[in-house]
Amino acid sequence: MNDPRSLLRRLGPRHWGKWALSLAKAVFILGICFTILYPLIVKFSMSLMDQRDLFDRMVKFIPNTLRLSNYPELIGYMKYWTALGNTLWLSLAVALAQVFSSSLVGYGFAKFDFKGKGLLFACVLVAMVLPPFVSITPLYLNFKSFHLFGLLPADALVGNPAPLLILSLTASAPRCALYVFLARQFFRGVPKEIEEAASIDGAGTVRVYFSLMLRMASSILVTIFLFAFVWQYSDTLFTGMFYSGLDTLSKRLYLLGYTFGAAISMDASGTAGNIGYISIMQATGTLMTILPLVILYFFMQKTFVQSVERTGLVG
Amino acid sequence: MKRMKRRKQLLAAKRNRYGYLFVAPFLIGFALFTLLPILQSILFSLSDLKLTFTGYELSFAGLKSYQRALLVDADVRRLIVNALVQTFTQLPVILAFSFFAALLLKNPFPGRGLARSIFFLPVIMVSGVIASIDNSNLTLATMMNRNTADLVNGVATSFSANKLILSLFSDAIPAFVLDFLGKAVDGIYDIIMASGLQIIIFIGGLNTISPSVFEASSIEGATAWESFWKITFPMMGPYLLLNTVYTIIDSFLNVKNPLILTIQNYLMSFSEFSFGSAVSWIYFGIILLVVGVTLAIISKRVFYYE
Repeated sequence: MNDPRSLLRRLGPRHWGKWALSLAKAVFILGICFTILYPLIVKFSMSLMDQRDLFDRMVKFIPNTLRLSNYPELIGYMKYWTALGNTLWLSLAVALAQVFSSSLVGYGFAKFDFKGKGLLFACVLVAMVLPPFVSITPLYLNFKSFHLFGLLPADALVGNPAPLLILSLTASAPRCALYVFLARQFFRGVPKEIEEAASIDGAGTVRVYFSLMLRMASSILVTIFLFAFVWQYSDTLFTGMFYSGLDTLSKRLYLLGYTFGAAISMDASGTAGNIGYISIMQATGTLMTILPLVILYFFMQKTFVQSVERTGLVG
Repeated sequence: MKRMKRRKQLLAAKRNRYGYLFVAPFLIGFALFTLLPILQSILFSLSDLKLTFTGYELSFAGLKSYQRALLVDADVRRLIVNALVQTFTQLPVILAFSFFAALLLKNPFPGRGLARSIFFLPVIMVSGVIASIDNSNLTLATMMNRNTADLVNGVATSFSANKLILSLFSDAIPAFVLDFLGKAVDGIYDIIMASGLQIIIFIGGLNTISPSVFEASSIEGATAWESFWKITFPMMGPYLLLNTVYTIIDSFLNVKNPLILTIQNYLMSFSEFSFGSAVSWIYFGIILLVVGVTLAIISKRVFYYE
């Protein structure tokens, strides 16, 4: 490495093919990264713009006047902090419940041979491809009319987090079947000998699962948690149906273009600018909605990528 | 000896009973929150729904809604065909892209960690409201195009640039191939955004192939090209299957899919509810059929290394 001649040799014509290949790779990877980040960059530049910059064809990424007040205004429109708090606790509760149930069920499918297993697993596959809107309305009606033989007051299970948590705990929320599938694939790859050794040492089946298997599966659990959290975080359909009273970030973001139109047109000063102002607010809102997820993602991504490395997902 | 064996079998049977305990949450959930609503939804699709003071009333209407969806309604058939065409034109591109990306991201290079984080970022950006809000943003598309137009050197938009380049080959290559390629290039953003999980699954798969296999084959004189087609590609069969199924489902159930929006609109209004249920059942049937046929075709050719 220290010898300048060896460096020279590496740059020599014999290695040009190699260099060209790495260059092509680098261009490709950079290009894809740019394509993925590009919409975020555009939104960020929009979020700093005044409405006039939006319609000015001379303005590219950098606005003429830096308008930082977009952010406090958006935080007001979206009731950002309340909505963020609501979203975080709901997503956390739902994601934890889904991780618990889907790993439990996945383990059951991976490690036990019981009667009717094939049929039940076919049910998992059906649940995986079932469009959520096929069953959501009957589901809503059932939850609404459920009163446990008159013991519960009317509408006890609508308008609170209970339906979402019940669905999550029974692994029947949307996409839970996919998590069951992922967990099953992971547990299938764990050698039998580990459980046998533990049970010879006197641990019961349930204890083997909770104190040994779950710890081994931490990487796949993190992956499932991330997916479940993100899904609940950005969901409007199920949350809107079962817990419509709660102000979540996804709901406020969804409403930004519609009901806020009236409020915005009253206090915005420009004439043609209202559409532009709503657009700027939507771009800023999307950024502010994604931001907590990106922060979470970068904290968890090391474990997440490791789990990708290790998971022997066999189809 | 025989008794020992029998005892072991009994123990195994006893242990296997725990399986029901572990699967119980899903069993209950599937029966109550999936199967029951599905059956109710079939009932809705076969009935007329009337609002009453106490709730709703069903009267049997037979296959009326199905007839309307398949024979009378102008939109449903077109949207179903569109969804199928969209899925099957994107499927090969998504699979090829994610496989290629996985191969690139597997081996170490400076900055690989960062590149991987960015490649997987779409996983958190394509779900729910985050994906659909951009469609309702009226000036975002203009902003995106204005900036890219500048990047491709003053050509009016990036899209016409693609057409221009492709038209240079129009004598040598049949038009439908060019059309397909043009669409693939235009949709490159959608394809990248739809490939997040697939790349993850392929990388996971590539890591299961033991390096000693490649060592042995290179000692035997195989080139990198040969070992790719004879080792890597066949070993990826199960993952290819998983990704194919996942991609098909993901594309059919995507929030951006116009048919899904139509069905949701129907289901939101009470008077059209039976019709909406019928359309969603037709669609669900088609998805099941497509996934089933794909599974049957591919799983026969997949090689399982045990």
